Amino acid sequence: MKRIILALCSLAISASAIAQVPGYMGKRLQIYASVEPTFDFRYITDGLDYYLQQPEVTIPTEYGNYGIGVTPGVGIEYTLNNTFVMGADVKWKQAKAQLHMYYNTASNPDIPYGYLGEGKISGMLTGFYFKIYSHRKHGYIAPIGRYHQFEILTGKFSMQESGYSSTDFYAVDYQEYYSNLSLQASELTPVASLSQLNFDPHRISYLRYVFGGETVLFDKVPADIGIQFAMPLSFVQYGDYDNGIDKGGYDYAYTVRKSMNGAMAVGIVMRFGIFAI
Amino acid sequence: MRIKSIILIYTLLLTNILAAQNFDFNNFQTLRSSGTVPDDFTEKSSVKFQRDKSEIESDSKREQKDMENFLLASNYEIEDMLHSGRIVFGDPITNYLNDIKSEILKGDPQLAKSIRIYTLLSNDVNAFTFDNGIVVVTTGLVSQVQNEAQLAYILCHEFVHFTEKHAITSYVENRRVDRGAGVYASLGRDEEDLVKFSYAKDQESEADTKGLDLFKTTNYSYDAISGVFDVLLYSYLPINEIVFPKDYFNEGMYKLPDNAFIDTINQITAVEDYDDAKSTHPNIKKRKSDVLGDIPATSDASRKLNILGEARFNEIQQIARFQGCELYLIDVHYEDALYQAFVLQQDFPDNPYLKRVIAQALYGWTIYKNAGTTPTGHIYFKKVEGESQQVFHLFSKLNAKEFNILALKYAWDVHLAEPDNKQMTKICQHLGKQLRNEHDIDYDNFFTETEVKKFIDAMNAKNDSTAVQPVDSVGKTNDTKTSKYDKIKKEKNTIDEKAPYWRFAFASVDHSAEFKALFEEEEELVATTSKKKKKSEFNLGLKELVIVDPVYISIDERSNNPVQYEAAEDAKLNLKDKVKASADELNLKVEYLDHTNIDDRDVETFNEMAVLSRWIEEKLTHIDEDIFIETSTNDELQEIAKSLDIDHFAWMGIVSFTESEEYVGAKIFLCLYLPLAPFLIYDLVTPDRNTFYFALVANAETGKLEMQYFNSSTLNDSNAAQSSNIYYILQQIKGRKK
Repeated sequence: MKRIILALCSLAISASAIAQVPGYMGKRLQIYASVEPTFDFRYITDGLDYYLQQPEVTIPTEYGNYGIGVTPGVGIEYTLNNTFVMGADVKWKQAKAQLHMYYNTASNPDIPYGYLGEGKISGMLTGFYFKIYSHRKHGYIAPIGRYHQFEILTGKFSMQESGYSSTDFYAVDYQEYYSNLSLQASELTPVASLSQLNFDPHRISYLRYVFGGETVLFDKVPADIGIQFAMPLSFVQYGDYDNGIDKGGYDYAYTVRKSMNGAMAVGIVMRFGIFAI
Repeated sequence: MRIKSIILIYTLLLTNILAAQNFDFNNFQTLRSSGTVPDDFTEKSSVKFQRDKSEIESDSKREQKDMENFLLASNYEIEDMLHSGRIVFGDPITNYLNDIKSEILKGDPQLAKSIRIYTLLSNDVNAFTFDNGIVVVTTGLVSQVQNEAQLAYILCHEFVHFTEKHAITSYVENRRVDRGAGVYASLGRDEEDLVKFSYAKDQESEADTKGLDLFKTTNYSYDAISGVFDVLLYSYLPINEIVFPKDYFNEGMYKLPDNAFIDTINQITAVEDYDDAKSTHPNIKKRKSDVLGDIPATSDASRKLNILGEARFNEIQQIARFQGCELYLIDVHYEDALYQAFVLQQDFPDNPYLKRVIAQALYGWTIYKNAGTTPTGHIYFKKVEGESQQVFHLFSKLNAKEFNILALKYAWDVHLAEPDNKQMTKICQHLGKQLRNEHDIDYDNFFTETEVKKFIDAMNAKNDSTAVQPVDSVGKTNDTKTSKYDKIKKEKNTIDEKAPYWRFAFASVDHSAEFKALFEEEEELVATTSKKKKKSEFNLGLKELVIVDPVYISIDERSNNPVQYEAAEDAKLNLKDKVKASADELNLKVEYLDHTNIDDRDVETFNEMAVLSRWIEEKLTHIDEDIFIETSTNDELQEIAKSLDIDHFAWMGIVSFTESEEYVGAKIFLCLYLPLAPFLIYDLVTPDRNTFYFALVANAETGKLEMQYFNSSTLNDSNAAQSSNIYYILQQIKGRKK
C-alpha cells in the first residue's frame, strides 16, 4: 500500500509540473462529503438456506435477500491537469448479514461459544483513486464533465449482532445443520454478543470503478453523481483459518466477505464539495 | 430668384466635382461608415422583436404565431447581417442611394422615413428588402448598372416589397403550404415547392409592375428600364468585356508561353427565356414583357437617366468597382480580382491600388497553387464565359513554379514603385521563400541584365556558327547525319535547360541585397499553429487583448424554432461576465469590441469592428485550406491595433446544439433486456447535446492566428462547463511556455 501511495504522490508532483490549467477556474483542491447508496445483494448463508428448504418453518430473519445501504464518506481530491484528477477518501460502510451460526473453539476448546443470529458488518474503507476526464476525445476539462474513476479501497471489517439472534440453540430446529458438522448444539455455549467469540476484524480490498459526471453549482460547489461497480481483489481461503479459529472462523470470515462484496458491487455515488484552493 | 437658383445649381455642381476630385482612387480603401450610427445597428433585436410583435394582428392564432416566428428570426438575422462587417452607412454609395430614394419618394416623406438604405459590400448583383424597411443594395449591383435611373427602378421595385409586406406574407404562406392548410392539403413535396416558387414569382411580378407605377411618378427616364433586365441577365459576367492581352505580363525576354493562353474563349450563353419553374423570380423575358408593356408611350424627353448627375454616377460606380476588387480578394476569387483590376486599368492605367490588387491576386493564387489546392468555391476555367476566361485559363495552366515567379516579378515591381508599402514587402518576402522552399529556386537562377546580354551574344554567335555548316568531302553537311527529331529535341533541351523564359523575369531589375534576401532560407510561414496543437497548450504569454464580439449560438432541434435567439442574447451577456470573471482570476486585461457597447456616436468603433470581421472572414477562408496568406486587410488590422495600443485580438464563442433522440423505438425495445434498461432509459430521457467552444487569437503585427482553439463537448452548455472552458482558453492566452 505504501508503494501505491508513493506512486500516486510522485504522479501528482510530476503531473502538476506539466499541468497548465488544472482545476475549475484555477481551483485545484477540493474537499467533499459523499453519500453512496448501494444495492446490497445479501449473501444467503447456509443457515438460511437450510430454512429455505423447510417450507413449514417460519424463517426467523428480519433481512431479505436485497437491501439498500448508505455509505457516508469524506474525501479530498486534486486536479492534476485537464485529464487527470487524483484523490483519497474514507468511507464508512455497513452491511447486514443474514441468519447464521458462528462458533469459536479456538479461544477455549472446552467451552466453545456460539452465536446464532443475524449480524451487522461495519468497517472503514480507505481509498486512493484517479479520475480520467476525456479531454482530448470529448473536450471535458477536469474536474468538469464525465469521468472514469479507478480506485483501490481497503478496510477491516468486523461483525456485531444485529436483528434476530437466539441464545437457545434448541429454539430453532437446527439439528440437521449440526449433523453436517462435527459439533452438537449442546457442546456450544450460546452467547448474545458476537464480540465474545473474539474474531479478528477481516481485511478486504476492492478495485472500484465509477462512471460519473461532475459539475460546479453556483460557481462554488462541486457536485458529482455517478454509478459504481466494485470487485474484491482477493478471496478467503478455507485453509487460512484451519489452524486458527477453525471452521467457525472461516464461516465468519466468509460471511463478512460475501456480505460486503454484495454490498459493494453496485451503487450510486453522490458528492458535494468545496474548493479549498 | 434667378441668381439664387444659379448659385444653388453651381453649388451642387461644384459639390459633385469636388466629390469626384476628392476621392483618392490611388489609395483606395474599403468603404467606411460615417456619421451617426443608425438605431438599426444599436438597438437590441429583442427590443425590436417585442415592438414589431405588438404591431401585428391576425384572426388566426396559428398565423399570428407564424408571424411572430418570422419577426423573431428576421430581427436577429438582420442584426447578424448589419454587424457582419459588410454593411456600411454614411459612405458615398449609401449617400448616393439615399439621395435617389429621396428623389423617388419626394412626394411621400412618410414612406421615405420608413425606408432605410444601406450598402452591402458584396460582388453579388442584388438588392433586397426586409420587412422592417431596411433595403440593402450590393456594391456589385452598383458596379453593373448603366445609370442612376436603373438604380432608381430597382429601388422602386424594392420599396414595393416593403409596402406590400412581401417578406412576412411569403413566410406565412409558405408555412401554410408546409402544414397543408386549406387548398394546400395533400400536396407532395415537389408540388409544395412549386407552389412556394409560384407565390414568390407573383410577388416579384407585383413588385415589378407596382414598382413601375412608382417609377412613373419620378423624373427618371423610361429608357433605363429595359437595361435593368439586361443587367440582371448578365450579372454573372464581369463589369466589362475587354480582351485580356496575352502579352500583359511580358517584359523583354520574359514572355509567358502561348500554351498559358486560350485561343477561343467561351461565348456568352445567357438566354432570357429560361425555365423559371423552380425560381423565385420570373424569367427575364416575362419580366421584360410585363414591365415594358406598361411603359407609357408618351414622350420621355423631360425624363433623365441621371438626375443627380452623370459625373456623380460615374464616380460612385468607380468606387463600387474598386471596392469590388477588394471584395474579390477577401472572397478568394483571385481571377475575378485580377480581371476587374485589369478592366479598371483601362480608365486608371497607372493606378497603384489596382497594381497592388493584381499583385495580391497573383500572390494568393501562388500560395494555393504551391499547396496543391484551390480556394473553396473556385470556378474551373472551362465553365467561365467571356473574356475573363483568359485569366482563368492562365491561372490554371501555368505551373506552380512559373506562377510563383510571375507573382514575385509583378509584386517586386510594385514593391519597387512603393518601397514603403509594408504589405507588398511582406508579400515579396513570402513569395521569395516559397520559391526557395517549394521550387528550390534561388536568386542566381535568374539572369541579371549583364547575363542576358551575354546570353544574347552567345545565342547570336551560335546562330552564326550554325548558319554556315562545315561541309565534308562529298559535299554534304555533317548536319544531315542527325535526324530531324534529334535536332528538335536538342534545340528544345538547350532552350529549356539553359534559358527558359522565366529566367528572364528579373533581368531588368537590380539584383540588390534586398532582392537576394528574398530567397534566404528561413522557416516557412504556416497557416497557424499545427493541427496537433488544437487541443494542446498554446501558452501565448499575453497580458492584454481585445475580444471581438463574443458569439453565442444555441440551437435546439427539438423545437419548432430551433435557433434560440432570445436565450442566446442573454447568454451572450452572461458569457461576457464569465470571461471577465476568469480574466480577473488570471490577472489578464481584457477589453471588448462589441456591438452591444456601440452608441450612436461611436462610428469609429463600428468601422473597426467591420474591418476585424472582414479580416477574420478572409483569414478563416484560408485556414480552411490550412494556408497562410498575407491577407489584403492586414494593413487595416494593424492600424486598429495601433489606435487601440494592443497587439492581439481574440474571437471566441460558444455554439450549443441540442438534438432529437434517435432510434427511440429500438432503444425502448432493448429495454426489455433489463441490465441495459437503466442506461437506455437515461439515454432516452436526456437529449443528445453537443457544445462547441472556439477561440482564435490574432497577432496584428504578424497577421497570424497564433491560437486556433476548438473544443467540442457532449455536455450541455451549463454555467460550469462554460466557465471551465473560458478559463482554460484565457489561461492558454495568459500562460507562458515553460
